[in-house]
Amino acid sequence: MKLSFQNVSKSYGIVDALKDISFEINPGDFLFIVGPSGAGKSTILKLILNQIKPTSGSIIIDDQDLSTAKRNYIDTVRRKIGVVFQDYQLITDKNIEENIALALDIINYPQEKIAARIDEVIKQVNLDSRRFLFPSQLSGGEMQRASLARALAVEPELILADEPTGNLDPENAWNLVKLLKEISKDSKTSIIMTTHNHEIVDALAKSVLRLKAGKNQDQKEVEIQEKDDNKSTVQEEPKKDQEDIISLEKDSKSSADSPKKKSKSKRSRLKVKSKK
Amino acid sequence: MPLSKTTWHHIRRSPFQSLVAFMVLSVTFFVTSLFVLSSQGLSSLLNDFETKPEVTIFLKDGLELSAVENLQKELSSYPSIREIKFISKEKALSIYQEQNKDNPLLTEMVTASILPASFEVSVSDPQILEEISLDFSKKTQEVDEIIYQKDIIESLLNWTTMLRRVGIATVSLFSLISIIIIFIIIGMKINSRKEEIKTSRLLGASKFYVKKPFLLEGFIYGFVGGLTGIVAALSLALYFREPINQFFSPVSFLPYDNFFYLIVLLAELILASLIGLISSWIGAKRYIKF
Repeated sequence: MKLSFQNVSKSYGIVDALKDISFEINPGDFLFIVGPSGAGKSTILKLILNQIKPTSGSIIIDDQDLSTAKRNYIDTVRRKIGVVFQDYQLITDKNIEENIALALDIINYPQEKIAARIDEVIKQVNLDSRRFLFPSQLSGGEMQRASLARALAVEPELILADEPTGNLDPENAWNLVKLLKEISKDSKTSIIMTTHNHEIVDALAKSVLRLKAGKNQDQKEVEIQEKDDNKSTVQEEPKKDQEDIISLEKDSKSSADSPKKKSKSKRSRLKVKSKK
Repeated sequence: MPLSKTTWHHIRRSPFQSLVAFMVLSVTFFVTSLFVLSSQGLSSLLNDFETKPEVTIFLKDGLELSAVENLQKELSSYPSIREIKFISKEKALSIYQEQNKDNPLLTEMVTASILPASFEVSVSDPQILEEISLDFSKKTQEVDEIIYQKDIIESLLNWTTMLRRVGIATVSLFSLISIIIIFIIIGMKINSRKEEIKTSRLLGASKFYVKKPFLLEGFIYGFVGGLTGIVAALSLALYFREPINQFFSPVSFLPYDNFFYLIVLLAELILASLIGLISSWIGAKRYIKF
């Protein structure tokens, strides 16, 4: 799924939640959105889901501007997106299996394959033993993983993960991030993840969109390369610091100078732009 | 989760609301069925009266045959005449004897000479009855007495009309109450499942997808509630058919043809299902706005 934000602003009365945000992601891209609370991270995800409309600017998904799209198109786009909600949004009177089945039913997944698909994703997020439990019987971390399982089940073209590691212990947080990284690499699924967890952002060295008080802080075009996947293990202590991120934000020309970097840059098509 | 399972889940999760919906539709269609059956019974009674001689014109003794023939010709000239039957003195005696065959004393004392000859006239338009009655009552030379069943027919007509009006008003009122109650119940259920609907919409469910379980739920209330009420009323009618028909004998107040009951059942079932479906559709349209 190709997604593009073009000078998007969102205001709530006199409060600017976002101002002049522009970025673009392509299939397989992995974008972190970081920033303090209230910076507008969740607002970006809500705008992509068309839960809210931008005050100005355009959000374009697969060459279609969402502001002029028909209701059916919005529904179709949503069916291609897997969402890990910050507050999980699991249906309380359905067990985990039924929650996942609902998402599959919505996308018209073949009925005879639903059970197998549920098995698969439940194992992926390590929730086998919790399959028939209701959300109220799960811990915060388990609900987060259940929410991820539901998002993965639909084989989405884009995953929106809103603070997915917020309620997880370090081990599960790393497992989750590792899983997302593998998905983006193997299935060309784009991932947008909001987080406060700088360790993860620093360690993974993915594209980063920094928000501050409703404004895009990144002022220059960036081209970002991925870190070697093998170094991301469950036990891994993040070693990259802010310097690494800065080094990743070099312009594309300097990246292209190195043959090694050039080859890797094929996988890094993310561009974050600002008006300034 | 299949649609039917989701709907069953909704019904089971709020059993008392569902019970109210079932009950109100049962009562509505129990009452509707009773009115349909009563209306049908009264129509049968009315038809029976209409097939009977509605005016009996008793003739004076000693009339010439030509005078009788003239009277018959005059009667035939009225519009909407269905049948004119001449009852001679001898025929009148045989009818009298048949009616009182269990009482030989009465039959022995009566001879043909003391019974009057008469015309029995039946019509298809009750308005003509009054005209015939008025015209022939002036023929004092030939006509002895006129018996006109005007009061009975008028009263029966009034009863039938009134019953139909009351029936339509009552059934309409009950139907309206049913629609409002199902609308409110579906609205309450939608409100209690607001988060689930919102989540489903964010996962890409179309508006129709999230409405479907509620529409099916309304349909089930209509179908099952209606079926219960109709079956209860028709069972009662079939159980008491004999004593009721004996009371109205020789008229069959409740038909013996079971096909009639099948038609009533199907027609009312369609109406009940439509009421359930329409009210839930209104509820879903009103409350699912996200």
